[in-house]
Amino acid sequence: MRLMWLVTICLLALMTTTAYRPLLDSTIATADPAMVLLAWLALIDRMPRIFVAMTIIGLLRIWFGIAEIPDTFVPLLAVIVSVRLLRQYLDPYHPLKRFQILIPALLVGVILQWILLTGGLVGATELVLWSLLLSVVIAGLLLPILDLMTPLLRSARYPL
Amino acid sequence: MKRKKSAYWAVSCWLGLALLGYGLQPLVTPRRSSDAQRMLQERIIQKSLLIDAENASIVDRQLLLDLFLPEASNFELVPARMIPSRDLSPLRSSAVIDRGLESRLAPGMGVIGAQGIVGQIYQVGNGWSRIQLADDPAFVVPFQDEQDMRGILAGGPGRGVGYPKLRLDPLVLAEGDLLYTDGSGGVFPPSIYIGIVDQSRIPARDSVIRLPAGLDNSQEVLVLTPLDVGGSP
Repeated sequence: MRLMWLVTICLLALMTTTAYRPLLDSTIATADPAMVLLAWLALIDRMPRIFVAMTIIGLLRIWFGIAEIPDTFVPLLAVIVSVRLLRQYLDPYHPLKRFQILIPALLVGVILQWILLTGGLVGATELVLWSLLLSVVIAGLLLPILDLMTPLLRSARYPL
Repeated sequence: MKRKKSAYWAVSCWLGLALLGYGLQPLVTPRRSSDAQRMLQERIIQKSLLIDAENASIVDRQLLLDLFLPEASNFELVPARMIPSRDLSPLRSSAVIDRGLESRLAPGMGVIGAQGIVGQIYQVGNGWSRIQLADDPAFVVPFQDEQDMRGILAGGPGRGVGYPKLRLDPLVLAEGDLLYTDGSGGVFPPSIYIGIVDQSRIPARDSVIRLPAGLDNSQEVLVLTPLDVGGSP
């Protein structure tokens, strides 16, 4: 049941990405709801569940697109590792401090993906500046929704 | 129980948010009339490039036959219908065509449309192929400008645009310059329209190239299948 809800939430995140892509163009890369979901899970959840979510998102991206294993899984892993590193210094339960964990982690992910795709940072400056702003808005919008969804995931790690 | 109820509400809210995104899409997609006008302009550019090439061949037919015909005749054109498909990776750009293994298509083959370059075949199956569109960040194509200065163009970072990744000659890009294929690489024949310089910047790699319109629209395309011109049996 918990896994079913996790799959549903992952599908919802991917659906939101495709829905807002024409509106937000490539800036959706950092403000990608699927990445926000993964970063949110990485904030406090257990590693197995984080890896399940990462696998679902990654495999769907590879099957329904031209993404390859490195440019799909390396940025996702980078987001998880960055969140896990930063949460050692900042409180992941704090409603505002978690943004300071999430936004840099999302940035690391998108920059890494850009480097893997193009072999350099050319053209990434504009992408990063716009998407940085947008990722704050998207994360601000999605995090309260995700917080409300915690009873469906039934983890003791989520604050009651 | 109350918390679970609010969780269901949250899921519905998110679904509503996603559906709102789909609903807003028609508002931001370029208006069909302006898109059609741009497509017509680009079709004229592509046609004039081909006429120029044809006229040049009349000047010294034998020389040009020796030089260009072997290369131009190296392709068989396979018509196909391109269906836009939103790639699930936010940075990637791809589409699907209705031809595949049965038409002897293979990854790496070039795809062109009436307006010019479209992309390259990435994955092939029975009755379908997935194309890496020209505005994908991992797409690269050699180009030349009107002064025959060459470079390498890469797609992205936005939709329908690209940038000069590398300069092979000391080329200086000016706004409005037309770029087209130089025939090197064996994927595209020469004189296929790639795009127009939209913003000229220094360094040149920061310039913005506007790729042919309609990359994210359904359209008829041609797949460039290299002919087997192998030697003795």
